[in-house]
Amino acid sequence: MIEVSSLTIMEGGKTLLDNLSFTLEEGKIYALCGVNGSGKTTLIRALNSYFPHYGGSIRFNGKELSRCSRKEKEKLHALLPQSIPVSSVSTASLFEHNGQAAALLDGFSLSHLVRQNLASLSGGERVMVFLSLMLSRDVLLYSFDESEANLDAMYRKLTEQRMRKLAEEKKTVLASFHDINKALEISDELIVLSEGRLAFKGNPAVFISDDIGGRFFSLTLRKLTDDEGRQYSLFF
Amino acid sequence: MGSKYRFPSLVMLLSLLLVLVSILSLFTGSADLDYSGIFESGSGSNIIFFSLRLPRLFAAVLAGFALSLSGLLIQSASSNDLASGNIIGINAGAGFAVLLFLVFFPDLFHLLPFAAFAGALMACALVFIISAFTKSIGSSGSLILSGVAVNALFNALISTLSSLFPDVMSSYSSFSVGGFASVYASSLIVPSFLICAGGILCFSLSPVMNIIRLGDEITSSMGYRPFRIRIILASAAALLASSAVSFAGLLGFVGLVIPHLARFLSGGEALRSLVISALAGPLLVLSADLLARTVISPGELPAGIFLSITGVPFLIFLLVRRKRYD
Repeated sequence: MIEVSSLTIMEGGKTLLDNLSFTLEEGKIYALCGVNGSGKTTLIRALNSYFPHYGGSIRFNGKELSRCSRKEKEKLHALLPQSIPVSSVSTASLFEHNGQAAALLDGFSLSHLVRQNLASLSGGERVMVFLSLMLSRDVLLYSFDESEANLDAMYRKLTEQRMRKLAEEKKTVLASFHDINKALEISDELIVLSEGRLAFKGNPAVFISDDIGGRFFSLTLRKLTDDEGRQYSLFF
Repeated sequence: MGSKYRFPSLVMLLSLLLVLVSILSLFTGSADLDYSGIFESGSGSNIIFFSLRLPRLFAAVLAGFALSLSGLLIQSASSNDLASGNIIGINAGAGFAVLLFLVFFPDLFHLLPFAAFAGALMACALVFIISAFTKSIGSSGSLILSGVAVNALFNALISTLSSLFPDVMSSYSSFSVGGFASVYASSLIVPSFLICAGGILCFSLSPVMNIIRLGDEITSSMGYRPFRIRIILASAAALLASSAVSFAGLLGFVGLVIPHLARFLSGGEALRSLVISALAGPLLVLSADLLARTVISPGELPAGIFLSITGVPFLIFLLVRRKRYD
């Protein structure tokens, strides 16, 4: 269990996160939503020890994050950043100290990427390489920072399946999304940020009934029924 | 890439070349050695061999080792392949401190490397502070820009000092280009210890060098402090570069070219890149010095000139080769 209380992040005189309090449970996928600049990336970074100093508290299973040793932190969190580093190194060299990662990449039928240079890969291929690196680590919280932006439909699906698998393994998954409908489809709960503050946290049904999509994203809710009579709620 | 098989043979090849060029440089020069007299105490050949050629060989190897490792560390610290000690002002900072020290304490010769280290650290700190004000440390573009500014500042200060105190440096131009014409064995003692310490530190940093290239966010998520790692890497780079500058002057290019070559050959893994740099750096500097001493023999040119002459086309080749990836 990850408890965030009164979390505040200030940088350069600007308040990026303002007094956030919420709890993340094991075995659930949390979708992080919010308009650009609402603090999604900052929150993911804060939960991954990016900020040595923060206001309020972040507790992983009761232990304050800033008091954890390096070795402890290594077992707490892993992330797939929004901007994947591009450098002229071989993929194999990235995996050299991490045997599991190559097997994971193989699991995506992408083992040929190991023989290539990172700089020669497409944006989406790089995401898959770093996804493998991230998944090779055994931690409590896995964060995905808009990882879907660079991926095609097939690898999006694979990534989503991985998120579900992690949740089934009793891990906590936090993934930021731009696509509200995707977030509703995949997540167990949604967290909506607005100007650095927590605007909403709840399951998809409440998100729809409270018209969060309309209030924070200026979207219109449509209810659709398919040929077999299944009901869908979609925001446009 | 098959780099697992390639690496040991590459190391063997580089070592062999280094030994060959070392032998060649010991027995080549403007004076002809009388081989039988080398070990005869007091003979001309004995003096030339042990007081001139051997220290000079040692100096070139040390400088090549220190500057190429320093370049690799700087590129790792800044996550930018364009960085090197003589581009972001570390060498110039050290050079300025060397000149300043010689102006005020001409007798405290053995402390020169420490002054150089202080100057390099100061330049390093300036670069990091200026770039921190413009943007985050991770933004390597701002690091290079502030480095270029710091480099210009220290080069201007060096020119000022050498104009005000023309006697301090026997030859300002040879200092600014870099070379080994005025190296004495005694001026190598302290730097060689510092460079050894820097080398050990450098190799012990290879695991974090492998991690920091994953970017600040992933580095943090693995429990490390990226900013701390970058400061440590940059300080080690300053130690290595400044020790070399204290006796070899502002040798350029080796700190830029060799790390590129090393990454190209090693695929980017830090320990292998370090090993290749540690062998190829001395090889390049030694070859440049050999050319510098022989091309217009019995006169000589600063080794730095040949370093640039061989280094520039090579760097262009590597950049063009890499272009295919971008």
